[in-house]
Formats: sequence, structure tokens, C-alpha cells
Amino acid sequence: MKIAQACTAIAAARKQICPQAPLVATMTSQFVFDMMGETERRVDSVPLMGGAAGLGLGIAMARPDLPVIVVDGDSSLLMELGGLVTVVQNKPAKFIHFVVNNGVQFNGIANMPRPGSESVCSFAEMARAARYDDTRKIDTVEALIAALPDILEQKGTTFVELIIEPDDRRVSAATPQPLVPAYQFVRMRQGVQKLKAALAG
Amino acid sequence: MSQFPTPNPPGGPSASGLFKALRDAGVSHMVTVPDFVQFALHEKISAPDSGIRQVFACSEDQALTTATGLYIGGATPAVMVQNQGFYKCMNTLRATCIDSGVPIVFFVGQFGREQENFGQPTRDSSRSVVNMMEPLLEAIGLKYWTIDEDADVAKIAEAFAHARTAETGAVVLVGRHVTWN
Repeated sequence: MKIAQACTAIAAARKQICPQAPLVATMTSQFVFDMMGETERRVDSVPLMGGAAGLGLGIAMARPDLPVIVVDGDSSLLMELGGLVTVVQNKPAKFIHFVVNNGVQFNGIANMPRPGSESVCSFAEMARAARYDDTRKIDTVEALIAALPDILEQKGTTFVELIIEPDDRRVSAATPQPLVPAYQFVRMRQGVQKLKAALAG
Repeated sequence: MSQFPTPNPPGGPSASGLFKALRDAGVSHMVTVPDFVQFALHEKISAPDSGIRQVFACSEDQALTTATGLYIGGATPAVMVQNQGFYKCMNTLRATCIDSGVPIVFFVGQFGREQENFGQPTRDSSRSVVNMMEPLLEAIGLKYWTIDEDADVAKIAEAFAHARTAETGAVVLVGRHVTWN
């Protein structure tokens, strides 16, 4: 499954089942959601690897009436792996935690290997060991689309490891990387303000 | 050198004084990786009728992102950590309080401050974990308030007011062990 397919399926299900649910994105998923126009009630952990689960947990604790959807990165989650325990410890009412397991860092740019990709570490098993209420591993878009209605209706803590094929590498000696756009350094501030206002409204 | 610990000399801010300052500021959640210096305040907050929920995180980065999420959701969180943990979460602090304008007040215990430094500037401490703190805060542009005794506790309201109006982090440096009264 490609990340664009996974994000498209998650966005469609959110619209249909829980359009009020805040969405926390990071890394490649934020760009995919941008391209889809999926900007409502969304905040991105950027530039901040490892922050998505904590942001989602805090929102879920403040607003237990709403499901919160987090689309995390695999390398990001590894940076704050103890966050799985922090989430479970604090018992959010409806916390849906996807992790994009593509096995690389800088997906679609340089595709550097992620630690643990060669040994095929299992994020779903780590979440299960942390005692998430429900853990799953999904590797096709068809299976994801079929499971999403049930996933988004879950109470408690749900973890979904998405097996994702990395995007093609596009940076090399012949095609050096561009500068990071200025927007990347202000989008989290804008997202915090917009989502806070939306949740207060 | 004696193998027995030195008794803590009298002094330090009281848990009840600090707790009242938190309630006066409207704090709803105290997100924390527990701090050696502020055990008595932890206990005060954990009382069932405290009115403040204590939220435990595995790392200071998680404490800060969780506090940021609570703020987005309409709560009024503060963060309580040790100086070592504060150093650890610099990038998360940069992303949340500094770049994103999230107004979080930190209660940072000056773990490891030696008795000879009591009553002296912490930057004169012989221990790097203590003496680096104020220069670091000045370098990253965060205001701080030092709390060594109950008489200092009134300054905490200034920290909350500053965080709100300037839309940034503010740091309360707790320089003595909090007393259990």
C-alpha cells in the first residue's frame, strides 16, 4: 500500500464517520493530507519528530467527547517509543494511533534506512506489549478500507500499524535536495491556533 | 567524606504555597516526569480532591507535547520536571512554546544544588546540572523566576501572566527542596 492510498482512506472514513475528530499528522502524511485538502481540525507535529502521539493524547484528554486520530511516522514513534506507555497510562477515551511503517527515513527524498527495518521490528507487537486496547497490522488498502469503520468506532486506545511501500527516492547527486519551504516552520503554530479555535467553537 | 547523606537544612518553599499558586493560576493538569526536588508538591497534587489532574509521562518531551495537546483542547496545563529533563526536551520546547506560541509554565527543580550554594546565584554552583540552567534560559530567550523560599511564591503569578501575554514558555526554577507543609 502507498501512503497516498492510506491517507486517502483515513480521510474519507473520517469525513463519513467522525468529521469532528481532530487529526494529528507528521512527516509524509502531512504532505499527503495537504494535497488532498484535508486541513480541517488538523495539527502537524513539525518540525518535531516524535511529538504526534503526545499532541493527540493531550487533545484526547481535554476532549474525551471526541475521537482523536494520530497518523504517526515509524522513525518518529521510535524516537519517543515510551509514548506508547504514556498513552495507555493516561487512558484516553478514544485514541486512534496509526503508524506509517515504510522502513525509511526521509521517505521519497533520500530513503535512508530506519533502525529496525532490517530486523523487521513489529510496531503492533510493541503497542500490544504497552497494553493498547486494540492493535492491528494492515498491509493492503483494501483491508484498511474495510477495517476503518470499525477502527474509528473503537473506544479506548487503538493502534494500527500500516505497512507502506516507500515512495521513490528523488534526491541524488544529480538532483540535490531543495531548501525546506518557510511554511514548514510556521505551520505548527498555525495548526495549534486553528485547531484550538475550532475545538472552542 | 561521610557515607551518610547530609540532612536537608531548614528552608525552601512549601507545597501548600506552591499548590495555592497553581490553583490561583487556574491550572487544570500538571504534566510531569517526577522531580526529586518537588516530591511534596507532587503529593499535594495527587490528593483526590486537589482539583488538578497529575499526568505522568515517560519523557519530558512527551510531557511537553501532551501539555500542548491539552492546551489545544482547552485545558490549562503546567509542566513539572527536573533540570536534567528540561535540558533533554530542548527541541520539543523550541517547537511548541517558542515556535508555536504555546503558553506553558514549567516548574523545574534544581536537582543537585549543593548546600554551599543556597543563598548564592545558581550560576555559581559547582555542579553543571545546576549552573547551566539560567544561562541556557537566557540564551533561548525564556524568562524565569527563582523560588527558594515561601516569600518567593508570589512571583509565580508573574510567570503565568507572562506566558499568556507573550504566548511562550515561562520557567519557575525551584531551587530548594519543597517542604511538606
